[in-house]
Amino acid sequence: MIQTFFDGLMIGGVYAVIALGLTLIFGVMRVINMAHGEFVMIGMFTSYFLFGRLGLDPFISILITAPVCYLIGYFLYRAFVSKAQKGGEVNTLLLTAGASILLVNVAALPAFLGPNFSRLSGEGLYWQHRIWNLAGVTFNAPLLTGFLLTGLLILLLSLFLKKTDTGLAMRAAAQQPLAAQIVGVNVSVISGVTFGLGAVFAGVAGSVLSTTYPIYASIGALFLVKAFVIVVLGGMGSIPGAALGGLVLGVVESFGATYITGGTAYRDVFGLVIFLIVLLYRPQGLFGKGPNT
Amino acid sequence: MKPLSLTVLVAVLTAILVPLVADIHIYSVVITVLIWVMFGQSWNLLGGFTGQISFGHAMFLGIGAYTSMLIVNSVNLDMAITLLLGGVLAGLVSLIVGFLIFRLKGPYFALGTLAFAEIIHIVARNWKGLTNGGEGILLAKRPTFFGIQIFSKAEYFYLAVFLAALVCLFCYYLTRTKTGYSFIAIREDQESAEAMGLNSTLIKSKALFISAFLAGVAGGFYGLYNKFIDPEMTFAVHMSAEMIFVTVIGGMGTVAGPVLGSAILISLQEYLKSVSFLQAYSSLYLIVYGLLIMLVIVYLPGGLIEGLKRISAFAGRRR
Amino acid sequence: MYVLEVDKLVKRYGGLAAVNGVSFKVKRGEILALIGPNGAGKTTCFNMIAGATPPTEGTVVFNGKNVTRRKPYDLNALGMARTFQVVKPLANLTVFDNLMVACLSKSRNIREARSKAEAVMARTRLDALADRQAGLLSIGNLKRLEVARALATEPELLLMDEPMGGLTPPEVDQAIELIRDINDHGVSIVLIEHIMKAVTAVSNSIVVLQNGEIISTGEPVVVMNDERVIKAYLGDGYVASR
Repeated sequence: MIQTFFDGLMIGGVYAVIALGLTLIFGVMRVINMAHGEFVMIGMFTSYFLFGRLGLDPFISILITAPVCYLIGYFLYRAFVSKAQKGGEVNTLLLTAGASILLVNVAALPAFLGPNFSRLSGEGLYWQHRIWNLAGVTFNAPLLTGFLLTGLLILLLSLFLKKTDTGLAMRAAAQQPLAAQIVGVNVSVISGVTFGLGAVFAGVAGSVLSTTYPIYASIGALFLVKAFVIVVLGGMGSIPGAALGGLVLGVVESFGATYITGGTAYRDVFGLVIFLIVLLYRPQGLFGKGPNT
Repeated sequence: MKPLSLTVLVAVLTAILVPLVADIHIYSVVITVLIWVMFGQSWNLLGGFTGQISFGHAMFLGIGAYTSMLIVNSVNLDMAITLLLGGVLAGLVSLIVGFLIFRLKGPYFALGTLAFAEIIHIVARNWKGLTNGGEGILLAKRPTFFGIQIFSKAEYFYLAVFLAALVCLFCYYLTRTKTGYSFIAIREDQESAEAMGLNSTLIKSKALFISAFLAGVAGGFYGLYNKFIDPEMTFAVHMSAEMIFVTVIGGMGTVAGPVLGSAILISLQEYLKSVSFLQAYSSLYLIVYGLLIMLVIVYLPGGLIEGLKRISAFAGRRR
Repeated sequence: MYVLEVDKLVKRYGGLAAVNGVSFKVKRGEILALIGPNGAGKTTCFNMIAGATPPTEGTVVFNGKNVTRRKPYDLNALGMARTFQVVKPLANLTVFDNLMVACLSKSRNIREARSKAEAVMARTRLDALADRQAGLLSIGNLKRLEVARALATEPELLLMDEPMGGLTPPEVDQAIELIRDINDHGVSIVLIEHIMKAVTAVSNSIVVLQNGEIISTGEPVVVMNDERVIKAYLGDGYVASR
């Protein structure tokens, strides 16, 4: 029981990071990023590639994954998303959906991931099958490290938003873009930074997950759905909501997988039904700004 | 030229010229284009004309497909009836969806429809008793349309031309009725329209019902034409997405949009598939597709139709 | 007798009461002006009366019927119409199509809507702009269209929210004429306006709102000289002219 709980908590931490990126993008720019899952995939692929070519440990490769995802995200925003925003939220949603299709299929090219599954594994991988035992509970080492990393990231993000000028600018842009512009906030740059940051979060999560999950071009969809459920539950635009929601989802999934037999397919239905119910009856989630504000 | 005559002319020309050059392959491509024209028009009615963007339209397509297939396989009622039944059932389901989801606005409505469609998708995959799950259902009998047996590609072709023309004309004339105007008003400014006496909930439900009905009818034809259906080719998200993009790329909110979008995208897909050195890059079509979506949304929000209008305006000025 | 009776309307947002117990009555055929400083709660009152926002407390009675919390389209069907302070035209449609939409709910088919729209267009002198895209009109014409759309729904009661905002002095005079014309045809009007010239020109009675509460009510001459009103809104040195 305790084991199941901690297993769920660990993966929940990673879910939380992904959801954080999504909620940040929504909170600051009211953009629903349908391509968010693809950044997770990009993170996974980058770590896989760097391990394969340079033997670089996936956690160390985060140092490269982060800027790569940031740049792609920032570019995507400035070149496309920002221009689509004037057409409205649905317009932007459709654009990011198009970006998603583009990214998945570029990744599916033989030069990158191709059509098959890949696994980050092999000689010299410190994390290969590594588990740690702490107080009688078995921890999947990469996930535990990822969990700690998540905590650190959330802390850093909160500090960044509260204490730095850029963070303040982001919060201003989130609340009142027009007023923020009037006082000198360059909203398009800030939005680009936010989008890039959101992408970084997803990418870092991808690097952490690359040790545990199979890697293929369309894996992003899996995480996008989970991120959505979390963000809607926790409240669109709410950081504590995303963090808490991620942990909750991880634990719930873990218990569901362990104790409910034969229900794997219907587990997805369960999640979707909860999603619908929350969307309909408590649209603001636990903490956030709702769909009708 | 009046739309009625134009459509009839195009339909008749297609019906006459295509069989002259067609082999099985060309028939396939043309029929696929026509099916997607119908899917596009269906989505466009709700999305382009009424402004409610649905990401889950595949559910109506699938309901129509399974209804038609199951009826034909069992009692083999005439297609005219089966397709209608598929459409009506899809329409009835849409009433439930609308009732639950219309309180949501904009992108949240889109997500709600997506969730709904995915639930139905997963149920279809697992409810073996009804849908035979992932194994799908094979067409077991030969359907008829008003008594004429529909079996060969050519026969499906003529039926497709007829149905697509009917759907296009229906959509065109609908937008010129009181109902059609009310759809557009809701799209433009729902609050303003309500203040002018338009019952937004009723109007949106009407739009959804008709849209779902059309998707169900087209879905039924799609299933019977393919002679096989399974949850992946009916209920899956990519079907919903393609219905949207065919319309968006062609031109949302116009009747010509889905026609143009479907023709261009399907032809593009076929062309890329046929070029031999691109075989290894099977995802290339989708890369172009994704890029095209992004470019159209950013630079040509009115779709290719808008592009054509701009070109003809430009050419007009040159003279 | 009374086309509209508003009783103890309250609208609270969290701890803040935007409207705190407003009551007034509008006699059939009269023009009542609702004035007061910005933020006094005037538009919120309109929103509650017209069904755009549900009141936290209080009732709205229209022609003797309790219509509190009914939807805007139901109210419109019963004979109430409103204009918006920030105009809401159907921007991508032509002026004519805008009016057609307004006529839809009272017409059996497109042909009938078309002829009704033509009549309204003539009456509000928008015919010259019939084919112009609504979103491209000047503010004066937008305001005129806003009124025309409301008129097209054949109301008994018209709620006008700052119809003269942004108009030039000659346009204000035209607007006053239009309001008088509408009223002469039997339509009761509740008017929110800051342009005192217009308020005094057309109103039969005035209600003054401040911080969500009524501080004065009655005939224009009385209200305009009320000390509280002068202090709260009009300013010392305001000289009422008729």
